[in-house]
Amino acid sequence: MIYEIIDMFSYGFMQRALIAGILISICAAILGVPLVLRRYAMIGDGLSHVGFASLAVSAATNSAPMLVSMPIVIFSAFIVLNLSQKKIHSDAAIALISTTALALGVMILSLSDGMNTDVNNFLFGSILGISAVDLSISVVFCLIIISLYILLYQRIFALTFDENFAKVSGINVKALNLALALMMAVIIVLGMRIMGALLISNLIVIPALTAMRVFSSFFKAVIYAAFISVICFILGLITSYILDTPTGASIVLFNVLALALHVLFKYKFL
Amino acid sequence: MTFIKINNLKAGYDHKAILKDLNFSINKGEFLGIVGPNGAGKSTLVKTLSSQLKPLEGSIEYAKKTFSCGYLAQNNLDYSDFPASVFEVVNSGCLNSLGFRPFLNKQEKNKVLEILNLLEISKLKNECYRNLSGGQKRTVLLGRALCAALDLLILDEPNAGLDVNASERFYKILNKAHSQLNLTIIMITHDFEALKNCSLVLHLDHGQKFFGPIYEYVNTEICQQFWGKR
Repeated sequence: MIYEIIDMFSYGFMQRALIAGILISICAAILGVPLVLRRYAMIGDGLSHVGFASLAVSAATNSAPMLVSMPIVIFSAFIVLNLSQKKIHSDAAIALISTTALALGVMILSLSDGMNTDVNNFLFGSILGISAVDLSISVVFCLIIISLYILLYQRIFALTFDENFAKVSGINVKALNLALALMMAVIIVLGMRIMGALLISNLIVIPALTAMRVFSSFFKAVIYAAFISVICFILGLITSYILDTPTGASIVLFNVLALALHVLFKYKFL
Repeated sequence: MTFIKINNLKAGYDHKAILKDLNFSINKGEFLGIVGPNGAGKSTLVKTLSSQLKPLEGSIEYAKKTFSCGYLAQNNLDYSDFPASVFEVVNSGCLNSLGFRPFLNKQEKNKVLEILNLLEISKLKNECYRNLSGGQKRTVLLGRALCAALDLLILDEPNAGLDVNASERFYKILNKAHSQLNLTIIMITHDFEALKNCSLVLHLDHGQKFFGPIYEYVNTEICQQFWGKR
């Protein structure tokens, strides 16, 4: 078993997936805590559908997936945020955008090349998803997100806890909301290949839920969410390699298992 | 010394004026109570004073250029799922002295500890906000507002939803903070008992019906009509 695990990480694609995946898991989890608390979780889900459409575009035009997806998803994040601030019910706006994007993506795929195995990988993630270029893009953006998060941490907490009070304290609430949405959009694009477009928002939501149940401080919840997210990612990646299952799905199931264990543990012992 | 001066202020939402022709000024250290019927524009006025709303007409002059106020809203934030310790919540009140710095310094952390001490909630420091009682949540949010209130503290019905004992305790703590920190306080209230803590009264009903010291207010007809014979 140990040899098998050492052996699998001698492959280049596994090393790339491991490094990029750990960084993406950390970013998704730390962003997840404020996003879930601000009821932005569904926006992430909507954006991931837009991500699927943009992957379809990149497959049809034979261009680099991340370069195509990044501007499209960021632009949609901007639109969704503005729609929900204009008091159009945000759940309806998100449903509109995600179904439209999904339909567009499937249309583009079937018109260009016909549906093939790529679709499966797009939707549910692939262990081979991270190329060498993707790896360097992921590392750069993840490090930017982590440092930005640390610098803005005090303000992110204040905004998440009480938007009105943050406004009175002179925080530029609009800009900070936008920054959060943009960071979420970037993480969705980065994580989409390995996690799958339909499952990437899980990486944002579930570790945050798990950590929020257990800890009584925001700081500890953020740190623990990152920790549990990385553990589940590594377990999921190994499972995906051994059983040849979609990577995203394997990781999601580990995250759900972790959440279930925390719920049980809390009810039993605390 | 005049601390805040309000000239011909017209306030409201989206060009719809709720309050008109307000003229008054308060000195440093005063405790102003704002009273009046529902919908009279009390919350609109404090939102305008704390710059959540822009004045439609007229002006608000502050004695200082950078003016930081702490705001305690009407409702307790009732989160069932928010992981936040009492320290973190009170700490977030220090943000308006943050400027462009990313983190709070030692001095600000000490200030938070001092305020927790003053409010007699030092023991709750590491407790989770979501598990506190209504009165404790109020006190914690007051602590956060005190951290932000370098110049002015604004309270919007601070004892709403508190029982008699909890609200008595709240005002005892508030009075202590008022005298120790030499604060200027503006408070909306529907509670005559609470109003007795104030030095000045502003009675609103879509405009300014009375402004002056509390001992004069209690003898006016408007007071007796509104509160009944006392």
